[in-house]
Amino acid sequence: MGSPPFAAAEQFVEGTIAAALVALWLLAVALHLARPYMLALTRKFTLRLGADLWWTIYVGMRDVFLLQVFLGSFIFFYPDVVRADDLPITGGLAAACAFAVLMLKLMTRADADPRSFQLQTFLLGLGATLYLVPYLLGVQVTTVGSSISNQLASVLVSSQNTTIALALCYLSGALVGVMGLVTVFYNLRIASPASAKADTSAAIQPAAQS
Amino acid sequence: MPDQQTQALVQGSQYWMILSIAAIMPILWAFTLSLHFARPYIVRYLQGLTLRFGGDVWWLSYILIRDGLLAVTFALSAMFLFPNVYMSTNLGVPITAPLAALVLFWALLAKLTGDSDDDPKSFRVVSVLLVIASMLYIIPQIYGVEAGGETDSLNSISTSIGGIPAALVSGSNPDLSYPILNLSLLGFAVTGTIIFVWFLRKSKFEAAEIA
Repeated sequence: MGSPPFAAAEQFVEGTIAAALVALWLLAVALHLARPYMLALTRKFTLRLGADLWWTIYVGMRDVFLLQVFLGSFIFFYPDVVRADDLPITGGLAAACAFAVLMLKLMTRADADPRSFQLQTFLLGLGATLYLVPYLLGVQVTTVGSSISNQLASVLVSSQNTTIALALCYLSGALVGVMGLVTVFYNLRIASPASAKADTSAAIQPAAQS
Repeated sequence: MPDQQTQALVQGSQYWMILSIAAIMPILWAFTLSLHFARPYIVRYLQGLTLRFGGDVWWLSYILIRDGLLAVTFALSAMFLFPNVYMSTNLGVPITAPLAALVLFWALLAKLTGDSDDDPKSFRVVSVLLVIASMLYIIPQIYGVEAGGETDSLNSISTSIGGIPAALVSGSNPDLSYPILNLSLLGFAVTGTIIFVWFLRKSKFEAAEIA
């Protein structure tokens, strides 16, 4: 169905998602970096219930925003969309970074493991850079008209650099696919009867909150 | 407005709505899988909560969102069992979309008849079924429906792979899509019957006691 009004409507929706992802990436990074502030505030609560709720809401919001970033980035895995729309050329790689952070949260002790947390911070920073830089300096300069902005757009906008954009689209799809399979096998291994016993004994010792 | 124009506008809007749902489905699938496989993370966090109230809220919220999303994905997947939608040459939906809906139905059956939150075997069965169902939807959606414009570039690599996008779209491959639809409808009927019989055999009538 390629009638112009509906193709335009589709491009409008995809363009809006791409614009919303800027805000989502910023929120995801901001909430991740706000951890020391949240922890400091948690210690000031006089009721344990308040502290638990505060921390739970913070962790829930932080992780849901990151998940939304990944889900919204799904348009970067669609070859036709990448070819036709003005999208940041490395948006798919940014989505792979977001997925890698989610995978780290799943497979490590996330908040209690400083090394994993550092790696998550690095991947979040990388993902945000891979998304925000080509969006601001590529997608948002297409109508400026100067020679520099045209050159930037020809490199950083997916519809103007289709060969690299499609290669990155397939590459990021493959990366997310491989990481997805790793998480599936991790879950299946965790759910095996042998590790279920280990889990039960681990559950007796509560994990640290920070 | 002449009738023909009205008809064209209504049909065009319907097609746009259906294709929008079809395009959102991979996101819903990814969301569903993410929440299902986030279980170890959720459990690990649950162990860190110091109050039972907080733990209950956290766990119930997780279960509610995870299972609610699964139900929404299933409900929207039922759209691909409509012959007019699935077999339409104008629309073009993923060729294995009805099978994805069927396998998701089996995953729900496994959830209903087993305890996938406490029984590792049941969890693994549900996990494998969910992965199969999501792959049956996401792969033809991305490399078929959303890659229709790539035929020329794929042909330039090799003529044998140029036909992949068309082969993965229901409307352009009726020789395969028609049996898939029939098989899925039959599978749905059988699975539905199994659930119904299981429910009748399992549930006991309890008389209401009024104090």
